[in-house]
Amino acid sequence: MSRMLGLDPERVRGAAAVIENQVVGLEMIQAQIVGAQALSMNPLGMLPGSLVIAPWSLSQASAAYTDIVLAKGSARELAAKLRAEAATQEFVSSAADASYETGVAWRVPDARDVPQLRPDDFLPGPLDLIERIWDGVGFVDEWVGRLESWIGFGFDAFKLWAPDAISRFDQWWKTLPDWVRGISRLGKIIPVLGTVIDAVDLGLLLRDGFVDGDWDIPGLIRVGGSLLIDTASLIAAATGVGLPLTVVLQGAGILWDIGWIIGEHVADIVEHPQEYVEFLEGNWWWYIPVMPLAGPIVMPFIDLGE
Amino acid sequence: MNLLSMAGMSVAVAQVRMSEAMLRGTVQGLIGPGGWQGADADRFEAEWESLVSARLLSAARRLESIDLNPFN
Repeated sequence: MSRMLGLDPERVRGAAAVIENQVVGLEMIQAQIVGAQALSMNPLGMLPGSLVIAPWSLSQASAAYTDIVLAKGSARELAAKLRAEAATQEFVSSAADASYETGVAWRVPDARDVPQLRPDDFLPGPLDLIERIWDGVGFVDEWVGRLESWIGFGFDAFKLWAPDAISRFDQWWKTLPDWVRGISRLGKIIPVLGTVIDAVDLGLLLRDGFVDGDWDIPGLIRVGGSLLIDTASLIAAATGVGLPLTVVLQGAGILWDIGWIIGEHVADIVEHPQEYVEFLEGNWWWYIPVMPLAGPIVMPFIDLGE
Repeated sequence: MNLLSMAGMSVAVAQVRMSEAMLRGTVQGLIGPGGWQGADADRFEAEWESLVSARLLSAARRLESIDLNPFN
């Protein structure tokens, strides 16, 4: 392989750094697309006359999001190649007559040209989320709005594709004491809905999760852990333990789901998008918390004509 | 920036196009006479065009094609 003969490695590294910084700047647009989609699919709380994405354009928004995700991943990979070449160039230049095999070859693009993606290609800054979790009031104000939209988005999908599950949910909801449903009327809907959703998930998982002689242990841990956190935050909200604790618990619940979702599903989404879509079409209610994250990636493949 | 407005959507499209132009400019600054030349440079540029530029321009076109309707 030829080298970047005559090219200053510092100049190459500088270019790689510029590329990496520019790529981060696309995260804001990603976040805006996700938010606009969620609001358009669940515009409760929007004033009449407000603009929403037309239903026939939702898939275009998803596809635009996916284009940006893949472009970011590829840009980062190519920037890494530049850095590797710069390092190689420096080594070669400093060696008297050595030949050096870096082992770093151009990655031969596969048929789909899909880059190696990282979790933060999908989410705008999970580390930023951790930093902001302690900003109690601001965090709750902003993320309650987002989560209501995400949960509403999940519920729209839930209602559309899981009528039996929504019937079970309605029956379960009616069994809740008045003070729980009262909280939801006051708008403190996050811990309540989170608890309800995860209780339904856990029930379904316990009923159906024994497959081929094995329990879906990761699924049980994920849903059970999320239910525990959401129940704790529900109790904190209802008993008025204090805003900071509630915020922390809600944030912990969010991080739990996000962390699990990222770890478990990102590789699947990217490597097997069609299989993932087919599984979701048959099991939407398992993935209500995941849909706001997976939705923009898989939606272009989903037949919304059901 | 609120994407759910004509102005907001236009700004988003412009930002995606601008990001693509700046990234491409950075790459082109490395490649060519006086810089990186040869088969590897050509391959890098071709990969950049197909894997980054084309996708970002596609994203911009898709955002441009989105219809916004009033919520009733």
